[in-house]
Amino acid sequence: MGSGTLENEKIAAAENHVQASSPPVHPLKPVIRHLLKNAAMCAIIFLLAHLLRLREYTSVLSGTASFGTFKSLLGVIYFMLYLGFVFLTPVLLIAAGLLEIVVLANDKRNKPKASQSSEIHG
Amino acid sequence: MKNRSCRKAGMKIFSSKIFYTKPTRWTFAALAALVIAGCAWSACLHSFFKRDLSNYRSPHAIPPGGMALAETYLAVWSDAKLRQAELDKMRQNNPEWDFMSRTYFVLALANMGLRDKSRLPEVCVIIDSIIRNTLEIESEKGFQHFLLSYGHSGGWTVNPPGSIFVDGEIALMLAARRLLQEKDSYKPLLTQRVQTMISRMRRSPVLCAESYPDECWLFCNTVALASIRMADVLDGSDHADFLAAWVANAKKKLVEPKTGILISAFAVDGTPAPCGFGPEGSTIWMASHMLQLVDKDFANDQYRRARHELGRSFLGFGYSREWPAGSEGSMDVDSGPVIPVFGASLSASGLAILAAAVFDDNEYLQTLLTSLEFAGFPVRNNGKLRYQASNQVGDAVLLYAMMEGPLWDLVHSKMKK
Repeated sequence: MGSGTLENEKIAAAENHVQASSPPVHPLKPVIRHLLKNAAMCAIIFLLAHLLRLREYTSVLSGTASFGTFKSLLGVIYFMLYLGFVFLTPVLLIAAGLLEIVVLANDKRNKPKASQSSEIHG
Repeated sequence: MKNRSCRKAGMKIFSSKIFYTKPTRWTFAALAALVIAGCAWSACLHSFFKRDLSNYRSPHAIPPGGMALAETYLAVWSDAKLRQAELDKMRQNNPEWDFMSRTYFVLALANMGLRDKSRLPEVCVIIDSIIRNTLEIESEKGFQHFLLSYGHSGGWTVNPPGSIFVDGEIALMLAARRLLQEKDSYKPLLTQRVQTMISRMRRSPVLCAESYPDECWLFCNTVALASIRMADVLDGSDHADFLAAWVANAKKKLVEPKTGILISAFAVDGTPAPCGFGPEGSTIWMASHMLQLVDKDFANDQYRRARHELGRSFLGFGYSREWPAGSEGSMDVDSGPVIPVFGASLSASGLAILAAAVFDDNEYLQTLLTSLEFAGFPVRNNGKLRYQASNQVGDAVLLYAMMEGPLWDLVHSKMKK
């Protein structure tokens, strides 16, 4: 029993050591993940609307389908999703790319410092 | 709590810790990345929708885009059921669209036939069927059948009532068909229309006839003038003095002083009408094109002014304002929906494509066509093309813009002779 407890303590200590030694998650990483997730969401929803052939209802823009009907609603929904896909998706992807570059540059800058400090402590 | 509300708003990007804790340099980095990405993408978006101009315009041959669009409507007009379905759709919203789609389609087909003589027989058959169908409807149901409801009431200033909107466009169709290939039975029909139009126009101090009760539209009157010129070159009649007097009158009485552009609608006595008291994109682009057959210099001047006051481009996307900045009117069936801030009108932009094409303004045309690819929702299927965001009259205007050239050249060459 006593030796078992000792063993658990040793494992916990080892885990803590591993956690402490693994590099911390960069604060921009979750943002990048969110940007990518949202970009994918915009694209998938638009693709679905496109596959459902909602494009046919965009005649509402020329006033052929009068406002207030179900068809016109579908046309407006498709138009909004199209704008989301055309404007938002690329912007989110580009922003994610830019932030990834920032993260990489930041990691690179911090690495030499980390190795220098480990040399000193060693 | 804050996190949940962000998620509720669907703004998962902003649910990240970085955005709701005290701003750090990373918060600013993330916002800066979004702003930079937005600016960069906005600047290059248009290039994804820009197409080679030769796809839409060609000096002699039929451009591929025009051919694909023509195939769609040749199929519609070759099939009685399809045709009726399309026309009914138009009439539900606006009977004028039914009528105008016929005119633009006939003009497009006439140009198509002149560009490719091998298609002449097919084109003539379709044009004849359109003219026959239009004349039958007019004689059975009256000219009011093609007018909006307020055209059915009384109040016409000139009697017997008649609309230059209907007379002018029918005359234009007849003349275009005869210029393409002479058809003897159309000669008296055209002569009679021209006589009727001129006698009605002469009864107004501004030499303009009513399209609707006590409402003269520049659009319709310039169409009538173009058809009169075409009748002159076809039959050897001479209305040059009348046409010159019309232009002189218009310069004096129908031009808005601020912009120098012709106003859109006025009473028989020339008083500006509330529905079109100033220049409008949905009128002036077409009017300047029609005036090319009446007075080339005046037409060029009107186009140049309209281009300056109404033609716009934003991030590579071209559009036309419905009204000049500072003299906005109210939205109506002609303007269609007008986009706030920009003042952009769908119908004015469609007609601007026609004007930019006929006045060889390639720079503006390119930006307009980029917008068309972006927001027109083109659907290509089995070699056929149609713009989903448009309708039959919109597509007919676009088709005419892609085909235009040989018909007006023919009239000009006959005028010189």
